[in-house]
Amino acid sequence: MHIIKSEEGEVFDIELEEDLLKKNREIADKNRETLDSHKVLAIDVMGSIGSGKTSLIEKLTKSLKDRYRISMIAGDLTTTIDADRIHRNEVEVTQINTGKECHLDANLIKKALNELDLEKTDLLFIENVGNLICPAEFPLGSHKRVVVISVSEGPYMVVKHPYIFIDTDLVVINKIDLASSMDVSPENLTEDVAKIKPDVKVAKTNCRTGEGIGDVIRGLEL
Amino acid sequence: MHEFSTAVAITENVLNSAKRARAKKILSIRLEIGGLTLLNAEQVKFWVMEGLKETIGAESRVKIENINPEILCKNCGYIGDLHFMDDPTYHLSLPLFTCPQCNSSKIEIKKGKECVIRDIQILK
Repeated sequence: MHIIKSEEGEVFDIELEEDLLKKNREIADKNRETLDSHKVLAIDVMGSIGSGKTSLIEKLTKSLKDRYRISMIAGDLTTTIDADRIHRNEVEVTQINTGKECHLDANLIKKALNELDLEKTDLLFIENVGNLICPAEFPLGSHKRVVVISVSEGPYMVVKHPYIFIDTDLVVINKIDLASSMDVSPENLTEDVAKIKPDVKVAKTNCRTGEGIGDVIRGLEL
Repeated sequence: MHEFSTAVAITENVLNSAKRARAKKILSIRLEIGGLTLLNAEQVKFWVMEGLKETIGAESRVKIENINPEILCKNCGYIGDLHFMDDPTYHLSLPLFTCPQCNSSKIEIKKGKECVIRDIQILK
């Protein structure tokens, strides 16, 4: 056997090929397997702070609770305010407090799935942390991704944050009742979405009154 | 957005690999960052170099290469670059998540979401 030893002062190349983001994708794939094995449809709801993610889930759970056994994973930095709101609708809620992190990742969802009774769940809403940037980078294993934007965030939300729409199935434009006072056109926002991703579905809503919730349900094929 | 935590992970990984190889010094580090990640290469490099201070990697060259996004169209089979819209309204060009050939949105991202430590060069 030939043994080759390195000399003192010799230079070596070490191939590492280590993809730091791959681990999250692998755990997300495992989460999807877990969800599929329990026949749970999971929907990741993303959007910036105050866009109406919780209001949307609240209205959806009210409309759908007779047809589906619904659970929710609520991501938030420190509070359980959103989780409490949804829990009032007799929905099983698992809270993830990320502390300081600005997004949910697949590993946190894996832990939350262990806490939920998946045998008693048909439909799972995952409310991501309010943020239009980071969640795009971290797939969770959900079947569908929804982005909620609202007219109160101004007219350029779509073109300023295009990357959040990469894997999005439905865009909800919320607070349409405020469109004229905000001088923001929901139609222009819709056109911006179509520019980036023409096939993506868009639903215009007022999640306080429930206007447009039917379009969201149809858009998600629920 | 996650440049600091990414840089910490890169630094730990590189130092551990160099230690396992009984390196006296790290000469260079080659990283690859996908164009669809939300990682700013300049910020990653800055924090990696900060993290390597007072280590065997303190004098290493950190090189970051961009991985161009590549898509596969599930509708027409196109494999290639993602297209960007050049509109003077926008300071940066707007990515279009559609097939440049058939305009379908049924695309799969094949490349561009990576953050890879490709290799390191060490002195034994």
